[in-house]
Amino acid sequence: MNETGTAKQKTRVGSLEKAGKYLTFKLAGEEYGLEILKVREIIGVMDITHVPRTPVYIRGVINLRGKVIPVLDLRAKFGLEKAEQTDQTCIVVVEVRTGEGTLQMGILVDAVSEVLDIKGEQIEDAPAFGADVNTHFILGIGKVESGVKILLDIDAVLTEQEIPMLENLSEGK
Amino acid sequence: MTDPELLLDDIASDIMVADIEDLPGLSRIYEKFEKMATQSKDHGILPNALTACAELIKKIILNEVPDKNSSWKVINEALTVIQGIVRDGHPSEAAVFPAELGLAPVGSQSIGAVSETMPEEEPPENSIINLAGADASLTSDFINEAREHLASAEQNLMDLETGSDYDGAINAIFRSFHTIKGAAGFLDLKPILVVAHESETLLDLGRKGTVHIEGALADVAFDSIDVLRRLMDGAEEALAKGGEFNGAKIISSILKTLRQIIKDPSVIPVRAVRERVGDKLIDMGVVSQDKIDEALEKRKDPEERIGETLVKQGLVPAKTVAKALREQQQVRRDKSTGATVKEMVKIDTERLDRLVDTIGELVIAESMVGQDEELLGNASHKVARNISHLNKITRELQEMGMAMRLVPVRATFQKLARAVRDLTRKSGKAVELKMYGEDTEVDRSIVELIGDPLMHMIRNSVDHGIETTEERSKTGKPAIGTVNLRAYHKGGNIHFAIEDDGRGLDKDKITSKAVERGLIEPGREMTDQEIYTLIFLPGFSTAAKVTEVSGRGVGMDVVKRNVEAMRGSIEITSEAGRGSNFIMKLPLTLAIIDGMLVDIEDEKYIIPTLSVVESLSLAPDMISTVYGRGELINLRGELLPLVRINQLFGLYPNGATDKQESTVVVVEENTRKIGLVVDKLLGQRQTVIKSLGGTFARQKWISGGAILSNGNIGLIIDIGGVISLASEIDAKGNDGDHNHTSDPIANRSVREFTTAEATASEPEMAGV
Repeated sequence: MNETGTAKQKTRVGSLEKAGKYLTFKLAGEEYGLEILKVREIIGVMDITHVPRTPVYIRGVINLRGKVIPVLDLRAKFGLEKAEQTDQTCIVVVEVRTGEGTLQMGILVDAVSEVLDIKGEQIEDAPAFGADVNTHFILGIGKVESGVKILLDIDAVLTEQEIPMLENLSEGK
Repeated sequence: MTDPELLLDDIASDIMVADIEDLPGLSRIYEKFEKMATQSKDHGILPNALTACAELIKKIILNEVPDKNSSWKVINEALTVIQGIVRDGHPSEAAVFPAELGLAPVGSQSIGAVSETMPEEEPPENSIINLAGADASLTSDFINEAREHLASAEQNLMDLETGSDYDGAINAIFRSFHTIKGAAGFLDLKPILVVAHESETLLDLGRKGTVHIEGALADVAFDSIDVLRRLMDGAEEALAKGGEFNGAKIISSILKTLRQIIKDPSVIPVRAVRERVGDKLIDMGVVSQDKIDEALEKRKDPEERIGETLVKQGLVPAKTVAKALREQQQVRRDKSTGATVKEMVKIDTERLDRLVDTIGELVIAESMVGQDEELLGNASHKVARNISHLNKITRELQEMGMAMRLVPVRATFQKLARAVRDLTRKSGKAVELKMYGEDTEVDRSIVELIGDPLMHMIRNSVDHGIETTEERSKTGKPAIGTVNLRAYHKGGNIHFAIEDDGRGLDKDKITSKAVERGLIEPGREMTDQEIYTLIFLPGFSTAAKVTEVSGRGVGMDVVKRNVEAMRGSIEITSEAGRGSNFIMKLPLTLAIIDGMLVDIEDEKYIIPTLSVVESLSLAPDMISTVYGRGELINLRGELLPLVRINQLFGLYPNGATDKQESTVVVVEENTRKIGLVVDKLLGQRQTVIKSLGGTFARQKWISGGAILSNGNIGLIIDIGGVISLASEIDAKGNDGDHNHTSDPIANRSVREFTTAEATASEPEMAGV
């Protein structure tokens, strides 16, 4: 929740800080953007091993060249409808900051689009949608010629929410 | 957080930002150390260490230390140790402070004392390097590093004589000796310490300008280097045979020379101690040191070589001198070939991990090629042969890669042996430590972590377990107590067993103590195991008196916490009057694991083979139920609860829910047996456990992932985790939630997700 609080206080300067290159991808017809510096690589979909008793949005784990990394299903995370995998479906491997350091994670997306250079003045804070739409994963909304891109704060998406979740699970609450 | 902890953090952050020239800043740190020292009066060595730190800072401020930067480093190191005690609850008795602080093992002296104290007579123990029971890797590291330092000191010494940067060179030499001194003090290698110390003092005079290190004085410094080299050789030899090395002959003359110069720098010995033919002759037993000294005094020409003198004075026959000279040459030649213990290269662990990961990938790629049906179908003999050759090389590489991560526990054990020796000396008990399985290989990461808990448990056994010699003789036990320390692999874990033949745990005493401390209610029925685990409660100690070593009521709870942090456990068995056995079970984490690959709802899981007792195919009529839910089978008269993994893990059948065939894998953990119901056994696999990372740290029923031959990941089932999960679920299932009896776990886990997460994942869930 801190994220929303601080985001509201942010002025134009804040938006300028957010300016930069974003990798955009599709998810249920919407366009999202990820800070390019967080993206390690993009890989095709491979077999994902399900890890039992984890939230649905944790698809499982994959073997990324000998390293086991978790894969997050962004559709499930955002409560979007489940989709069949196509040949465009891919896993974007991102590096997120956690309390203990950095962590690699894969996120499952419908298709990657392009890398966009978004300027500060093109970025606006996410409007408040009320309780139904949780905006604290959103860094801002980028308005570019091809449409609106939802810029994700991937650190918030991947860490803050699920850790308490997993804790709850194992304690059986 | 306690006050000392806050204060300590304060000091730590001050030290981090402080500049060594910032005197007001330093004095603030000094005050804080003093303050903390007064606050922590009851913490064993802690106040002393804090005061020593304060003193050292004072010396830095007053410019009384030879090398501010190295003193500063000492303070930093000491701070780390103090933090370990205060924050992480390390025992202050076990703390190892930097030698320069003056708190370290005997023999080391504080920096401030460098140019002041100067023992006149060399006590005999100062000549002996005793490496029996020393930490081999630490010592050989030291030897290798010291040799490097000596080589650089030698080079600098040569530069000193020829080059222009006198100050730079002499400081560099000083630092080399200083480093050797510090490390030797730490490792208690007295002869090395003493020689390095005296040489350092000489060099310090050189730095201050009292003397100018050149010519004969430089010779003395060269000699010191040579002597230290010989001591290193001696130390290596002692290390190899695990015994002692007497350096008396090697060090006596150099020490004499050094001390003479330090005492009166104007007396520069022209005849330096370079001529070791004299020593050689003493070694050969043809002449005594006194005789040589006498001869040296008598000789007229100071430039004359000692061999000549001795021959001239008729003390030694010329032939013998010639022989000694030849041998001396031989030694020099041997040394120049540089035969060292073992060539070591230090590698960044990250690189090593990457190498091992890549090898893993190679193995998978190789097996994909090797098992490719298309390829094998058309393969000519040549292709088949090449593939099998590739396979062989890959396997070899894999084995090497796996072995690289593993280290034997020997080094850790040796440290413990040393600790037991020190302990027995302090407690006055006669204890013999017997070690088994020193070659058991454990993952590097575990080796680093087991030292402290093992040390605690050994201390506990020696201090509480083993009786005094009188007590033992009264009960008819052998006077010398025995502590057996074993390391072995079992049940997919690594076990460390510490077994003593002492008095055993007194159940009544433990119970009454626990009641007295309010840890349990009086009159509670408890199993033996439950009683024993009471000793792990914080604030519990049954030792009648607080000894220097243990009995402060901290310790065992720390052990338990440390072991649990490694996802391990401790099991205790004990028999009053006969002794106790503490078994520390640790997971292998990254170590190799033998596993049974099983298929459950088309997902692959691995059950650690060592936990598997047997497996049998399950026929429906074998199952009896309790309350219509709890299933058990009668296995040759033994009733085993069944755990259906598919239900427990909330896996949903892809097709028919009624399995025609399923298999029960009987597994054992902590003497508890259960039957795991799986769909199919797919065979044995040897794999490396990969951590799933922090994200799944709480998923205790999975101990890791293993990369299967097709490149996918198979999850490794943690038997202990599964048992506790099953009993947890069972306990909840009995709460009366009858709606879910058909598939309670699956339903529950779905509910958990939906209630815990407010985002709209319901449609998804409903569809499941």
